[in-house]
Amino acid sequence: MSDLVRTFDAATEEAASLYVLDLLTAEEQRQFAARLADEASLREFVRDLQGGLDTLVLAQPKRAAPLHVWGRIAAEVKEDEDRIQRFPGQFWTWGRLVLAAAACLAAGVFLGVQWTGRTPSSPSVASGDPVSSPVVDVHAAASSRLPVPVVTTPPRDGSSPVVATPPPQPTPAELALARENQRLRDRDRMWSSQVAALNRVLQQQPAPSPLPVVLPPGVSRLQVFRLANTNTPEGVRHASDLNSLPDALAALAAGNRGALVGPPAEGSATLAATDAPTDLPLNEGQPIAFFDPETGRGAVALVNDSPSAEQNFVVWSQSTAADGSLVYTPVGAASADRSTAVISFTASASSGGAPSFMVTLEPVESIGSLSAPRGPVVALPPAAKP
Amino acid sequence: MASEPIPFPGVERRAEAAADDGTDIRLLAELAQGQAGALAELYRRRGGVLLSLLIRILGDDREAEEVLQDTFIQLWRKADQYNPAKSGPLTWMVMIARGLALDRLRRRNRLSTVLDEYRASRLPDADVSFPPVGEAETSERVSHAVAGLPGEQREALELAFWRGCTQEEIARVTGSPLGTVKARLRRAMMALRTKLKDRHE
Repeated sequence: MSDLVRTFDAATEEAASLYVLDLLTAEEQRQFAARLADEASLREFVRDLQGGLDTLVLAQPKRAAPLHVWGRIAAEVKEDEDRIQRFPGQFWTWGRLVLAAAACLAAGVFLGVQWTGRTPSSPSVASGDPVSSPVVDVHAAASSRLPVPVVTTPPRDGSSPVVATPPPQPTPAELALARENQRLRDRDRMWSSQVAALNRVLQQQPAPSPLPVVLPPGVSRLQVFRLANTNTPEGVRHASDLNSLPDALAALAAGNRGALVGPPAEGSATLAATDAPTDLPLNEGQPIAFFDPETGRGAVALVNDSPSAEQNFVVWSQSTAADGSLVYTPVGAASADRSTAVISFTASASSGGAPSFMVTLEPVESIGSLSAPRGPVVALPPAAKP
Repeated sequence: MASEPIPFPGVERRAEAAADDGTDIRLLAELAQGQAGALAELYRRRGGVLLSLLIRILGDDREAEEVLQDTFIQLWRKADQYNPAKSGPLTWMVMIARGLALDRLRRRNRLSTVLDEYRASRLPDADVSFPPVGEAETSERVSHAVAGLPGEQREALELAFWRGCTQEEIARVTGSPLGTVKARLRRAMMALRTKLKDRHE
């Protein structure tokens, strides 16, 4: 906010108010935006008005950002990645056709120039409105005014010099096409980079656990990480606090070890999903997973934010069959009753000897019949690959 | 009876706002550069606020969550279009979320229904706009501050901002001339700004 309190006439105040409320017509909005571009004090004034509306928004009852929505966002971004991977091929197929057409056009224009001995007419900026004259026209006009460079090459055999054919100047169409190609390539690079970064987020590195953690019996090393989120959620106690989230989860898992519901089968064991005490210092809406790669023991805590009625979190054990194919075995699913729950599990060993698991979101109605994960992946242990 | 002026929450927020805005701007810039971790951080920071906004506009939790998802996808795709010189980061995010929510209302032809409900629930002196939520001091203070606006200004602001009504729709609902509606909106916005300024200085 500026220290200078500038006042405006009623008409400007009204236009600014309607502008921030998005109530101007398209033409009025264009005109006001033009004023904003020229008047710094008006921009400051508008920022003040927007700040007032921001405050109204911030004053709404606070809601937790639900994790299952984040899971859907991550999945959609992943779809973007797939589209990007398909896009370049399609783009370059069409791009080659367009480039070929542009080249033919350029050649035609060039031959036409040679045939008629005249330069092609180009938009002129000399008489045009600079605001309405796009850059491409400026470039084209400049090239049309400049003499075409002619390079003379003295022959080695001493004969008379020949005039080398000058390279054709890019036409406005070619320039526009080149700019569009560059823009698409830049966008493609940016998206690819974003997707790669997001994948790094999804395949999180284990979070450091600076506090002494109460490990469940038999667990010698514990990796604690949040599902699909590398950031410390609000409300989670920091490392300087006692009774941190890893402590609480590990203690909880230790207490639940007696809840084995069946004998270990083929190297895996399933523990029942167990309600956790409601007074745990857990952050609402931020499921936490922990996993011991040496023993294959792990747990996923879903804190007051179980998936929607349509989707549940499902934990999968991942192993490698004799023929090298990956085998997934469901070892637990979160209930959709929005209560605090912990799925404890023991994952089977993969081909590399390290146990592996993953967590996906799956439709409720298909959970009983699923033989492999189909929904979006919301968590992977650091070394696992689906 | 004279009473103490009610502190306006914008003041307290201002000190934090600069830092908050700086963080949001940094995250949007990182997002535009392809650092997807910024999207998760933005979601953590602003997902709840935007969800509250969407629930307020749409009146339906599930639908609000769908639009919240669309909002963050838009942020993901359009982060490179954000210009800090034109608006604050929260303003920009709110604009995207609100636009998507209002589009949805209009697509489903529910705006007329919303307006009918609004007409039915109208009470001349009731704080129909910003009921005290009692959860946070800030919310309560904003409620009081807005409740301090004359009823017709409050009503115009409610219809414009939260219900997404056009000037003509507001005129129709309130039975007021278009010019009057514009003047009320101007006064309401100026009053909010003045309270913000008064407390700031």
